[in-house]
Amino acid sequence: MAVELKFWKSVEELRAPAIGGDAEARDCFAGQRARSGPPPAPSRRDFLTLAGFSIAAAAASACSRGAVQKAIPMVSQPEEMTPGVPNWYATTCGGCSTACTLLTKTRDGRPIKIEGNAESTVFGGGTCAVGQATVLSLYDEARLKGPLWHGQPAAWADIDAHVAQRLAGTAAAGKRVVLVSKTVVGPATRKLLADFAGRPGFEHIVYDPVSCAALRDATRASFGIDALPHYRIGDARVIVGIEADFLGTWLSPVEFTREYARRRRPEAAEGMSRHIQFESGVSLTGSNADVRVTIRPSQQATTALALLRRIARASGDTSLPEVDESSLDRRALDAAADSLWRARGESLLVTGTNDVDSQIVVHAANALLGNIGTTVDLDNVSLQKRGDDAAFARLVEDMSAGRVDTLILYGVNPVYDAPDADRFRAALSRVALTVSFADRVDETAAHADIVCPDHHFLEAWGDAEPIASQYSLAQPTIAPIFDTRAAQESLLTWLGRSPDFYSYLRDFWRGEIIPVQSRDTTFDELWDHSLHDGVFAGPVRVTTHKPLVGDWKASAGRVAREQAGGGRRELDTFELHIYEPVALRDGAHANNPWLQELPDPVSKITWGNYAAIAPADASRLGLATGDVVALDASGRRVELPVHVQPGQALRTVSVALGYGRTRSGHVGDGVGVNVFPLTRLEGGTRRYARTAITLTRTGRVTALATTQSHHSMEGRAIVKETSLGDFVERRDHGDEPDDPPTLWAERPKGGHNWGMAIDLSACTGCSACVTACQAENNVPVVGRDEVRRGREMHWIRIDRYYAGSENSPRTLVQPMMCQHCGNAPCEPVCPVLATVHSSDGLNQQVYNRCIGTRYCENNCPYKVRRFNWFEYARNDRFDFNQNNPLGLMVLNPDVTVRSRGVMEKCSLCVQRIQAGKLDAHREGRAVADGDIQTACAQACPAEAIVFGDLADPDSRVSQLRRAHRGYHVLDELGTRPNVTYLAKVRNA
Amino acid sequence: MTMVDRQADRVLRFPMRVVASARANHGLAEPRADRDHAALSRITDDVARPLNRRPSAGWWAAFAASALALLVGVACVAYEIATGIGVWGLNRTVGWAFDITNFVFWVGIGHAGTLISAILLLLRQQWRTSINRSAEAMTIFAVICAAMFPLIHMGRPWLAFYVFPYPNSRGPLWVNFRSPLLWDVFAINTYMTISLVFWYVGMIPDFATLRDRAAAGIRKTIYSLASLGWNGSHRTWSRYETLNTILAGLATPLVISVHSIVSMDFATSILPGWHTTLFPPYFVAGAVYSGFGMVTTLLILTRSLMHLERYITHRHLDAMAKVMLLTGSLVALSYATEFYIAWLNGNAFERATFYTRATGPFAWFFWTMVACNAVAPQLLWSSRVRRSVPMLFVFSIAVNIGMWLERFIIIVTSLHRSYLPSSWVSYRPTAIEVGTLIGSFGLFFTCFLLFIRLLPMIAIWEVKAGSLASGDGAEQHA
Repeated sequence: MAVELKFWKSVEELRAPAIGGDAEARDCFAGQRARSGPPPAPSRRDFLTLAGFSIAAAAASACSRGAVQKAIPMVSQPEEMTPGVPNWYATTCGGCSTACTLLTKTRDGRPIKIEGNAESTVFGGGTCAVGQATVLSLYDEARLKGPLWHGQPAAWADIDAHVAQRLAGTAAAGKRVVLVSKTVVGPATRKLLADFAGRPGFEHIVYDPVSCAALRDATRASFGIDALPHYRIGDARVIVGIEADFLGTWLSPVEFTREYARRRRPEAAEGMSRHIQFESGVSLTGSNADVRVTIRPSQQATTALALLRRIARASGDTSLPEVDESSLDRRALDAAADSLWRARGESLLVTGTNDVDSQIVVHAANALLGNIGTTVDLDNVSLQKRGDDAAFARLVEDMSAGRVDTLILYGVNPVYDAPDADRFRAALSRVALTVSFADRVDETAAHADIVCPDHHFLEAWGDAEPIASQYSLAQPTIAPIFDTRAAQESLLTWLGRSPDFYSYLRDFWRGEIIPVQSRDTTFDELWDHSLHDGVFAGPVRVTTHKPLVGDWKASAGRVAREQAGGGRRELDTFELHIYEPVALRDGAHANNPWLQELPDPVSKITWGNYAAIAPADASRLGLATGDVVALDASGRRVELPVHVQPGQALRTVSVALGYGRTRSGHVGDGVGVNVFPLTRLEGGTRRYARTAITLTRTGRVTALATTQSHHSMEGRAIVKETSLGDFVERRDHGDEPDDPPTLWAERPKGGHNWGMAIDLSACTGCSACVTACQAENNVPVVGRDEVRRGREMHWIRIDRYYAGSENSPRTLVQPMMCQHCGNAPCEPVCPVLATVHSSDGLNQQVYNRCIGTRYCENNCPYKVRRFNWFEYARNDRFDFNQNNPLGLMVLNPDVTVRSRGVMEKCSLCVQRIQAGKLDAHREGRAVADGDIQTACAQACPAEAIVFGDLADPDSRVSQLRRAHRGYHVLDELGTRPNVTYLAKVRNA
Repeated sequence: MTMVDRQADRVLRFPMRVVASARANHGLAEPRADRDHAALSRITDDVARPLNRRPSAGWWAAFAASALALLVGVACVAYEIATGIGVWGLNRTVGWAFDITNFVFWVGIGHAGTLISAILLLLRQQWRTSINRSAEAMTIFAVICAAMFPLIHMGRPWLAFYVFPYPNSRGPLWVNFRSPLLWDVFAINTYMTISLVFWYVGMIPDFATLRDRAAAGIRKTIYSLASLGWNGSHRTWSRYETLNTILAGLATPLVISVHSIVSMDFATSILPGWHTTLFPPYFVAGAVYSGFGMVTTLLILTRSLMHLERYITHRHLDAMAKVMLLTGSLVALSYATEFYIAWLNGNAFERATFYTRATGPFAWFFWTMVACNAVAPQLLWSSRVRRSVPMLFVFSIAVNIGMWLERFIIIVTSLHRSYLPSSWVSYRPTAIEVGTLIGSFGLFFTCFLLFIRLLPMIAIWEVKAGSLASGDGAEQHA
């Protein structure tokens, strides 16, 4: 083993001095040795090992041969890659335009897990569920393997020649070339797009299917700044949201959740914040609010105006127009305005509506409250949504009129999600050349002439500036799997430049970024530093107060007039509220089975959308969950199953976007109904609400694939909640309950006792942990029919209970996974000892011993065990990611893929525990608190889950276990779980 | 034939209770009058006739039906083992339903046979002699049906051998003796072994009788092998009596222990509705009840199919009805106790479970069960009901249905709504589960129909002994 062999390919190589000056650089074992130290001198044991191995090898080779499998394909191993040791690369998420920073875990050259980048001061170490799932969309079989020309595979060179010629001709002939892109957050790419579209005849339009154009227009009108404000939720003591799902999908959910959760803990240093939400459908955000007031979508503007009037009056301005508040909850408005005013300077009013006047009214309210410069940051603006609805509408007009010669579509799918998709599709036929950068033949690319598939963001270079002067880089974590090309490189080629976006990116940073910092002197230093960290924080501008310019009173007047002239609503009509769901967002990820199977945080429904209606409306119309109704909105009709949603505003229906795709891939096609056609433009911005829709039953019934069908705690103390006042009082006076007595002797203790603490005040229910666990532990997807039968496989689930009245319930969420009970009921009943307790406190499931009697599942009071009812991997019946070689690449090699007939459950990421212990052992130290994080704890943007060693009294998890708020679920059964929950405290 | 009968006479002159004195008395009394001869040989003829004749059309019809049911079951089981437990209606909350219901159902049924052949033997109840053989056979077949279910309900049945504590090189890896499922393994195996041995040993003299009656050929060879060289001598008979008594003694505790252990599958669990010390006696009473129900069904069918009214008389049916009245009342008392205790201890989970049982999604199952198991047996107070064979037949079917429902209710209502309401689900069986249940009935009845065709379904030697001990001839009232 100590002998080093050097191989040379040619005489020149033998004679030439070693490149890099170091002979060891070519030694393929250098990396390994660096990690594990120099090999010991060969001992007798080595000899015996070798001898034994050789004999075994001889014997084995003499026997019949099995199939040869290439385990480690590297002949020349790159020095940074060691089989079995993961590499981490910092990059930026491309799942949506929020551009959170990520760390990607790669094994053997392929990314298998996504985590947040804790270096980022904006986003922190958490991610959302979509971010977690993007690693699977890399391994999507529906992706294009190469460019297409008129539906047939073509060569890049041919395409480039054709397009470049076309573009050149177009410019010369005075025809128009339009590039339609999603919001591009990367400054380098933005510059490239500007270069591309800056030429005469070229134009760049930004199109967001879920648009914040009104907020941008309003900010420009009110403050003269052409961007979105950066809302600093963490600085707000009082937050009032009007139909803004800022914890779930609006603008920057990971950042907002992190900030929000920090101040929702009653122990928060700055004091617990107060959150009031006015909304129609029950959103993730609304379900976390202290006070939730139902309004109809048509009342969003008047609610904002009502609050503005009260705030203005409090500040001494009574000139605002009267508005009829008879249909609003005046007391709630008074209370909300009062809270906002008392916390002025530290309060925040936000609305997710896409109506410019409403946003101007909200800006005015924030300005009067003195929030500009504190919670509303207009200096370090948000660049996360830059769509322009009016420009897109004009584009469709121009296309229909034949004024557009070439259309380039970058990251957009208007045939699916445009407000008038039929018109757009028809208009496409009038465009001479359509080029799409879509990664698959989606609804739009199916009508495009040329498809030049873009890389997945995990394969590509890029950068991001989601918040002004907060930069991050994106680097490839895997060489492009297919013959795809970065959209930027396509554009560079067609610009006649070198198709090397990496150089372009570096040049951009060299030119624009390095001058604004002083930490690194050379560009290479800056580049390596930033690439390693993933983030680069430019100088943060001091937030200043910006004066409110613009005629906000006119906007207020318009709102008032519109409400007054709204006309009588017909009694039998509903209002439609269309929203972006947490799992599927705008539908780009419809082919991602993890996201399709992720239960909606509020309704717990998977694999399809539904029409959420209030219980009172349901009983009045004689509808039950599952009845299929037809929604008619001025001629447009969709049929959806009903879901009776406690807390839904009366006479409103909420329906999620992102479903009803027809060309996303075999997983997403045909799932749900597309409601993008029900949106429309009004006043230059896209509206996601309709009035005067009718609801008629069709008589059909569908079984919804829900993972939780019972929503009441039945009086059982499962999620404990209390009010802030009670909590403070009892904390000072009360004592903690003891563990119930037990007959059993104490277990012999090993060195560690792994446990968890989950803070129910911080947990919002976003379900990022669910997808993270699925990614980390190779949890299979089972599909809609199996979910209907109650067989979803998620190891961690978010239980959601309603308390209080059906029409305005409080929502309580509780992440539930294996509690790793000290007196586990599952252990004594397994006949073959397939579930046993480890000396470090884990309840272990031994897959290869399990014969599947399922007594452990029956005896678990928490019902956290999951049985493999079928063979889920490599089974055509479950044709998801585990049934094709590409999808199998996402599997975590440290975790067994379970066979049929075997029980599985949360293992507290034992593979991570083992890796952490090994690292510590190798470094000759003890495991430190925070070294090991389970996937769920790592992914949580709210940092609600804490994992650690209960045997260490100073660890964070031990302190939380002793906290006054801490309790165990089903304590009275004597199971002694290692998972402690911290009771939820409401700011009532 | 005469010689054999004389041998038989010699033996059977001495009823079992005076076995010891018989050994002392070497003198052999003279054969009795020809009337006795005729009576005893008639017994043999009556019982042996079906074995020699072609089966009747009724038998063929029954056999065809049960063979078809068996085929359905085999197909369903094969599909389930090949594809996965997912073809059943189970889910993440309800891990057992039809599978363990059927298991407990069939094990329970077996208890009647053991009670009749073993316990009643030790209690010297003469009237058991014409029914004990078929009752014991019913036990064997019921245990076979029962044993099938733990095997097929496993997710990986090809690794079922893991439950045996065999020496291995993995540690060695031991099984979990704290697990009731493991106790089941031993209990069922023990039950099967003892019952089989007891049943077979009980048939040896009858195989000898048939051997001696048979013409030379295959039949004679088989009966010779089966009778293990039985020669009917004193010594043989006295040893035989001892052995029988010992086996009966071994089998007796099984009546209590096996179903107590099976009930521990539930009683040792933490689930509300399962977690109760009442289960062992409750289940044993229920087992005897359901077993007698099945015995009644079978015997009523066979006595008319095989024309054995002379042997399976109203007296037998009456006695069995009384046992069912007793055990049915015990079961009713157990239901009342469960509900009372749930109310008394105030445990919210337990109260909720019982409330759901009576009013929830399976409420109509529950009330049917109460009607069949608690209300119906009270009809048996009336001797008119007990004397009416059709009413007893209908009643026995109701017992079977009711007892199957009882196990189903216990299992599924406690599982589908337990501690955390977030995991509450509904449960619905699939066609495969129903097909497997039908298949188990098919297996049972196929085995039983073959038994009555191929083996002496009434214990010839015991009936003869009984008829002699009663003093007069074998003329018993049909």
